[in-house]
Amino acid sequence: MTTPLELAVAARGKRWLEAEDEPVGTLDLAGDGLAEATSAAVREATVAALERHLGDHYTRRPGIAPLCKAVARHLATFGLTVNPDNEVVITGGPQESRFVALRVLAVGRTVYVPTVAPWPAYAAALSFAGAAAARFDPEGELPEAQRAVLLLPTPNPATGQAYAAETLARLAAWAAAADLAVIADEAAAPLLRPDRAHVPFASLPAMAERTLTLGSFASVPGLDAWNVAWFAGPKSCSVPVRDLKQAMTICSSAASQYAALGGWEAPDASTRAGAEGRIAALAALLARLGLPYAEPHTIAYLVADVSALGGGAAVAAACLRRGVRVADGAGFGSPGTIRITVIERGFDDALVRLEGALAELAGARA
Amino acid sequence: MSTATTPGGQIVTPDELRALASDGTRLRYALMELAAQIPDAIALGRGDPDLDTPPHIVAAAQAAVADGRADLPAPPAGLPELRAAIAAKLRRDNGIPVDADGILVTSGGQEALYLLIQALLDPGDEILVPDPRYTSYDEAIAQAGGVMIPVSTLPEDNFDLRPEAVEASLTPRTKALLLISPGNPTAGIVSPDNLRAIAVIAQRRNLVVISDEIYEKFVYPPGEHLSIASLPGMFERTVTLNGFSKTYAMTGWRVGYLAAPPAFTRVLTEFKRAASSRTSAVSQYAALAAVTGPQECVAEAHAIYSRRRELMLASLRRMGFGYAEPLGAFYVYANAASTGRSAFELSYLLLKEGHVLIFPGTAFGEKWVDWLRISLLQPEEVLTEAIARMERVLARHGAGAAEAP
Repeated sequence: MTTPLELAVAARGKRWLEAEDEPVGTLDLAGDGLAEATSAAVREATVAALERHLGDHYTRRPGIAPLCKAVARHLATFGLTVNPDNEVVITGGPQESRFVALRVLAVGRTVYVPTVAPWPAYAAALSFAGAAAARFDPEGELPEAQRAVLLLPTPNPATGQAYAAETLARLAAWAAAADLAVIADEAAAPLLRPDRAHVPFASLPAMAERTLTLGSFASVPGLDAWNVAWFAGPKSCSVPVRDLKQAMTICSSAASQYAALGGWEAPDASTRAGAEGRIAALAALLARLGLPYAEPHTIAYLVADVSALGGGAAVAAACLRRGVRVADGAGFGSPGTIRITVIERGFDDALVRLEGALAELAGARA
Repeated sequence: MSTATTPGGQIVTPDELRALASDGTRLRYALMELAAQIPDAIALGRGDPDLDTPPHIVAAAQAAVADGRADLPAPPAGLPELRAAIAAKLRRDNGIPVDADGILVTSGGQEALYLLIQALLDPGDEILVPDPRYTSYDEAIAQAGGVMIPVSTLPEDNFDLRPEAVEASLTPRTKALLLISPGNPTAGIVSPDNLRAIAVIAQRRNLVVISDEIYEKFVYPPGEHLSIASLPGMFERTVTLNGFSKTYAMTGWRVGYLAAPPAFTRVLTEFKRAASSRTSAVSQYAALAAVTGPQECVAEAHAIYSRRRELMLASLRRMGFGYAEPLGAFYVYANAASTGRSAFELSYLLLKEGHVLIFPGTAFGEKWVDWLRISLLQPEEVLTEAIARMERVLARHGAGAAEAP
C-alpha cells in the first residue's frame, strides 16, 4: 500500500527537489551572502549575552526590544517612522521574511516581479500563496494592474544593480496610482558600495503606508549563519505577517538577535575592503577572458554575460564539474548570464577553479 | 470589569478578549501582553521553562561562537553531526528505526509541524486532532487548506485518546492523525495500549501519524511514554516531532526536529530551504551539546516539575477545583466549574486582581469553558505566592470554592 507520505513525496518531490549532485568540497559562489568570519564585536556580544542566559528563553514575538528599536532608528535615518513595538519584526533570516511576507500579502493576487529577479527566493512562497506572478520590465512600459502586489528587490540581488532614482520614482507613482501593495526586498541594501546611496522604496512619496520593507543585518560582517533579519511596515501589513512568522517559528533565535544587536551597536571597522578587492580580482579575470560584465553596484555580486560560452546553464555545469558553484542566470530570468558572489572564505581557490572552467569552455568553443 | 492596555497601546476590554475566544493563539497572546503590563504578575501561562539552559549547553554554544564554527552556515537539513546524534537518540531512547538522513533540524518544533502540514495536506484533506488541543497548530492546518477534525478526549480518561473515538471520526477524506503525547494543554498521555490500537487503525485506514513528543521526558507515574513510530509497520507512515525547548529549557534557541522516512525528509528539506533556508548554526551547536552531553539536567528538571506538580494539585484540591491527573508535561488542566464563574472570566479576574496569568481552556478549544491550563514554570516559592493570590481572588469572587472538599 502506498502511504500518504509516499504520495506526498511523489506529488511534491518533483516540484521541490533539486536533483543535481555536486562534488565534495564544492566552493559556493552562488549564495546571497559573503560567508565572512563573524566580527569580533558580534562574538563578544553574543558570548556575553549567553553568559547572562539571555539566549535561553522565548523573546517577545516581534523580537528583542533593543533590536527592534535599532531597526526603527536605522529607518529614521531615511526619514521613515515606524513604531518599534508593532511595526518592526525580527525574523529568522531574509528567506523567512520573504516567505511569510509573500505567503500573507500575496494570497490570490497577481504579483508583479521584475523580469530579472532572485526568483528561486520567491517561487515557493508564491506557489503556496496561490499568487499569479507577472514579470515586468521596471525600465519599460508599466502594466495595468489592480489589487496587486509589487515585489521589488532593490538593490536587485539577481543583477547586483540598484535601480536609478528615476526608475524608483516611476514605480512608486505606478504603485500609488494602481493601489498596489509593495514588498520591497531590500536585504541586499547594506551591501551597496559606498558610492551608491540606498533609497528605501518606503521613503518615496505615498509609499510608507503601502510598503513592507524586508531588511537585513548584512552590514554586520559574518551574520549569514545566524539567520536573523527584519521586516518593517505599517501595522496593517506587518501584524498579519508577524502572526504567520509566529505560527511558524514563534520567535527568532535569541542568541542570533543579540548577535545582530552587538554587531549594529559596535560596527566592525575593517568591514568591506576585502570584498572590494575580490570584486576587482573577479572583474580582472573576466576582462582577461573577454567576458562582459555589468559594473557592480554592490560588494557582493558580479553578473557576467556568458552567452558566448553557451549561456548560464552550460557555464554553471562546467563550473560545478570543477568544484565551484555559480548561479545560472536562467534561474533569475537572465539565461545568458551567471551571477558570482565574492565570498570571503575560499575565494582564491574558487577563482582558480572558475578560471579553469571558463577557459576550458572558451577553448572548446575556439 | 475594568479595561487594560497592551504594550501596543490597544485598549483591551473583557469583551474584546472574549471576541478572541475563537482564536486560541490570539487570546493567549492578548493575555500575555496584558500580563506584561503588570510589574508583579506571576506568569503561569506560557510553556516556557523558568529554568536556565544547563551550563554545559551554553558553554558549548559560546565555544562555537568563539572558535568560529557558528560563522559557517549549516546545510538546510541541519548540521550532519547533529542529525546523526538525534538519530542515535531516537534509536536508543525511543526505538525509532531512523538514520541521520531521516532527520530534519528546524527552527523549533512548531516549524517542523508547519512544514510537514504544508507538504502533506491537500485542500479538503481532514486531519484528526485530539481535543482540547494546542491551537497554535490551527494556522498551519488552515494555510494548507486542511480541515481539522477535533476528536474528543475526556477528563475521566485523564485525556487519554480512545481508539474508538479515532475510529468514529474517520471519513474518506481523513489523511492524518496528530498526536501530542504527553499532551498540551491537558498533560494527558496516550497510553501504550491505546497507542497500539490506534496504530492498527492507522495502518488499516492508511493514515499518516504526526506524533509530537516534545514533552516526552516529563512523564509521571503511572504514565508511560511510547513512540508510535517504534511500533511494527509504523515508521513508514509516521512523522515524529521533537525538539530541545522543553527538555533542556531551550525555548530561546529555537531548535526542533522531525524524523521521517528519508524520502519525505528530503522533500521537507527543500521546503525548509525555501521557507527559512536553515536553522541558526549557533543554536545547532547548543542542541548538539544537549543531545550528546550529560543528561542529569533532565532528571533534575523532572524532579523539580514533580514537586511543583504535587504542590499545585494539593492546592487545587483545597480550592475545590477538579482536574485530570496530569501524567506528563508541566501543566495542570483544571476544572473551575466549582467557582461558579466561567474559566475565561476567572482567568481575567486572576490576572486583573490577583496578578496571576493562567490561560482559560477556551484558548485550547472552544468547548472548554470551565477549564484552565496552569503551567508549573515558576519556582516553588513563586508558585506558592501565586496560589495564595488565587485563593484571595476566589475568596472574593468564588461561589463556594472554599467549602468544597
